[in-house]
Amino acid sequence: MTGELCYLSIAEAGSLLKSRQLSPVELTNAFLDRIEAIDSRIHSFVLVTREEALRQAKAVEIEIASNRYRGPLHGIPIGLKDLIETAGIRTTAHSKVLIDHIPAEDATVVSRLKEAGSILLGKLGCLEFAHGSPSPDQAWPAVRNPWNPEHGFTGGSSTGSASAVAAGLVMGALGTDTGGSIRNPASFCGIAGLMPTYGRISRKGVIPYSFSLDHCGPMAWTAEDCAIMLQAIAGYDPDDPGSANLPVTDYTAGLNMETRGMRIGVVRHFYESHLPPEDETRRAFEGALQELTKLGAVLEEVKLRELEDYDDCKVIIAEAEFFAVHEKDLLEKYQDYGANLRFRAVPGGLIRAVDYIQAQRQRAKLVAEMQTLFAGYDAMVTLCTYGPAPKMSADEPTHFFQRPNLTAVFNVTGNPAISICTGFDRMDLPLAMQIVGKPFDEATILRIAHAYEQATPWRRQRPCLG
Amino acid sequence: MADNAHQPSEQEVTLMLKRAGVTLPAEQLEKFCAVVARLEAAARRLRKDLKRADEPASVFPIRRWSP
Repeated sequence: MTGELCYLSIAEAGSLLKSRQLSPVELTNAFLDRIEAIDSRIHSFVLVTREEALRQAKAVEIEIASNRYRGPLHGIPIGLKDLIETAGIRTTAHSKVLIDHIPAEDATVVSRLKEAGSILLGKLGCLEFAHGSPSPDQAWPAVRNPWNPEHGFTGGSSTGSASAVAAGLVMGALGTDTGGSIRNPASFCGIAGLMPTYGRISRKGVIPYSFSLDHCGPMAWTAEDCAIMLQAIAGYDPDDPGSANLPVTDYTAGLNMETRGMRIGVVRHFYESHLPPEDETRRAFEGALQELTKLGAVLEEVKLRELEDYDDCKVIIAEAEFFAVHEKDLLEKYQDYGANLRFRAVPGGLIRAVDYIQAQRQRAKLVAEMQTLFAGYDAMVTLCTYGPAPKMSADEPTHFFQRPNLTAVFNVTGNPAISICTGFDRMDLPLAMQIVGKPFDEATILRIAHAYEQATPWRRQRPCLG
Repeated sequence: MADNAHQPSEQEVTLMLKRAGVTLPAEQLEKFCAVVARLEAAARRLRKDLKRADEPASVFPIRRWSP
């Protein structure tokens, strides 16, 4: 029964909680038991807030029994990437540098999830400051991929968020994404991960990596669950200077609307001109395109700028901003950073001011061009990663700089993008595509993703963890 | 990545590191030079298509300040 409860979607559990067929205390206990039984194999949590979760669950139970139901997240157990600040609860960014950091205030997204009545199960592991890579000198073991804990890397940097959702240890989680850190681990762990439009979700209280490119967003088993979470956290925040003061759409209302006639641009040249993807990944993507055609979408090949153009822009902006954030600590607490992050962080200190400005000028052009191209399409689709999860091994820190990924393009342009599962390879590791939308049109990509998930069997398969 | 034509010398990189206030272990210096070359190549490529008046993306409209 525990497994069954933990594998419910947020939408399913929300309906049972609302009708009082399911107790929030029972549901929370089921997750806490499962975390205790399984998490030692995948290390997705850095902190389990058991007592606080049970206190919240009991309060929610009383509220729902008193007809004070708040909505579809009321009583839903969730986790937070440990980059997101929580009042009175340690927030480390998975780093020894912040090992004793207990924030005084919640991040805006945390306040909004609390207002929606969700139950926090704990803080989830990540790559150090969202930019490191697994190395043995860190304060916690590296998060493992639940589809194959011995083999698989989860991708990064929202490692614990993706792993915990896939393993049924939380129903949903928040991640952050500066160059693919929601979509990449969502892809490798076979879940749905949404990077909303830049400015749609407040970054206040989210430890920064790169002010220009950081996004916070939901990660869950289905696109529908991402829509439910997005509804709770989206909206203007005067405390975030990048926040957009625009109305928030109803993200779940249109999920079941027709996709027939939608115009979708297919971007193949990113990976055809760079590193060709593995055959199974390519086949799964082509299969997904056929499915979208069956759903009535009109597909057309579209050509954007070369992948390198976006990557050049991203790497200069992100590395310079990362160094600016960490300059003081890098100089004063250098040894507290993991070895891999030390190596990755330092180049940012060598980027010249003029190069940073040229990158921001080039970015403005890339944004404008992308929005012009989008006039002809409702959405675009492309691969999310070049293949399934790679083997977990000591990562060579220089690799990060050597090849452009397929996700950072949309951090540069600010468009929303969701990663969804498109099947499994011969080792049962998940494969994925990303669906990209017009700025502030998350509703359309959620609708396409939901239609695809409903039409395919991939949401019925879970990792075998017992 | 293409266009890594200029491989900065260890001496050049050491000077840049000194300016940034960072000391890197000697065994990492060679790998680090390759990363710096990659960043320099990216910075060179970024200049294409830019016109004199092209504004950076980081420019933002100022808002009325109210106490």
